[in-house]
Amino acid sequence: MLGKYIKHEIKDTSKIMLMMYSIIIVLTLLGKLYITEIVEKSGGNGIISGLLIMVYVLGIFAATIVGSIYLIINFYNTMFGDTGYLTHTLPIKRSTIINVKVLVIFMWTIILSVLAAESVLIISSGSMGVSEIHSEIFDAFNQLTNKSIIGHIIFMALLSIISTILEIAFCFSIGQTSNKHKIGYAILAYVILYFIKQILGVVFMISSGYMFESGAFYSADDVVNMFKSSTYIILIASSVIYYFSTLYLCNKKLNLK
Amino acid sequence: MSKLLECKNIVKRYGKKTALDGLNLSLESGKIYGLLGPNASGKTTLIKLINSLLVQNEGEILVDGKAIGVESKMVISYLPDHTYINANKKVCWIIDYFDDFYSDFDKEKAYTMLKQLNISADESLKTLSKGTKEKVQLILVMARKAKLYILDEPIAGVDPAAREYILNTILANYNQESTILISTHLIADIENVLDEFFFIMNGKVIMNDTVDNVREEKGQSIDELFREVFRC
Repeated sequence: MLGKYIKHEIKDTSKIMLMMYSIIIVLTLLGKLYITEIVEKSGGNGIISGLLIMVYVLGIFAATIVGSIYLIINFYNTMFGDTGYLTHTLPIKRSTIINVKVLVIFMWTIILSVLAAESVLIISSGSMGVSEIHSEIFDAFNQLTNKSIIGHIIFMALLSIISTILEIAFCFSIGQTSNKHKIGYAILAYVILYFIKQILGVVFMISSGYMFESGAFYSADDVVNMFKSSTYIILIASSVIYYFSTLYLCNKKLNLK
Repeated sequence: MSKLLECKNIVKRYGKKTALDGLNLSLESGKIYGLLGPNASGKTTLIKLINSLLVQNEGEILVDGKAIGVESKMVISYLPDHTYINANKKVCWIIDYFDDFYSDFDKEKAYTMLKQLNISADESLKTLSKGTKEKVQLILVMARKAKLYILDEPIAGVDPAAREYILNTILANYNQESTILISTHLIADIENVLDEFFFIMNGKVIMNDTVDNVREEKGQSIDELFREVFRC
């Protein structure tokens, strides 16, 4: 049953997401063929090269935003909108439904982010080939003294994406408990969460400032380690809270219109 | 006869408004029940609770002796009162979807019913008329060999010919050991198929009897009794 649900979830969302990926790939190919050449000929000063770069940037930006918004809307519709009637009457556990939806959104988002980043890298690298760009990045990585930092950055980025998806799911779950203003309450929940996170961030900065003043850190590495561990704790703790709260709200407070 | 559905002291509130107020109801296997009441009496709320789309504030619901959950969803085939399938999907996609998730779904039966109605499985829902969409949804529900069919306003908003088709489809396709709960306020159209009925008002069952009893003892049809009980 789990396999079937994953299959349907991927199939359902694939049409739009593959369309967005195609847009990014086509823009990148066109950009590599024309923009690089025109920009290099004009030395980056021509009006046409400026316009082409603008069209490319807007295109990549639009494909990324449309893809992300589509995933959010689809999540809402299939969980708490009309299509939620189909989702929630399937003989599948609520936890399975949430897990699969979050994982599929995560998968599409990762591909979208990687494609967009790779595209920008290819276009901004001028006349260099794709393999050359990758070997440049690899060389730069080899020159780093603390190589584990790259692993931490990637891991933190993945955790941030998961946390953001769960945060949105949590806000929708709060919003759907309202009888009249489901979307409005979801947005309100998001705004409140944002302010809570900002306040906690300020408290954290102030307290780490005090710790620094009081000589709690012996070296720059201590500071980096402290920020690293704090970021992990915050991302993991918030993800766990969002996940279990969403599950609770869906199991005990589901309120489909 | 064994009880297939039991609702005990169900209370459901929407904010300060009480939609169901200590409702008790039980259904036996092998019968067709009417859940009848005026608008806003609590019919759809009760149906949504049984189908796990809402959660009650108080009380207990048991389906085949089990609490609402995965197992209850396996035995209930539910037709909501509105289109709930993504309009961009093709009919064949929906059939495959049901076939994948419901072990009691009879794909062949669904295609036979579609053929009888000249509905192409390659059409997407958005190209179909409202009545045809309702027929497709009904086909999905009746192509299952479920223990309990719950049909919320299955004949509302369709022309009399479509109503007749829908009622015939329900009668022709349901398993004699199964139970059907039909919610509607178009009583005259369905009362001939009912075994028993529940009158529901202000979130409570105010009357429960067999259709035959009402006809024999009161000499009334259910439609006449409904008009008498719920006179404005």
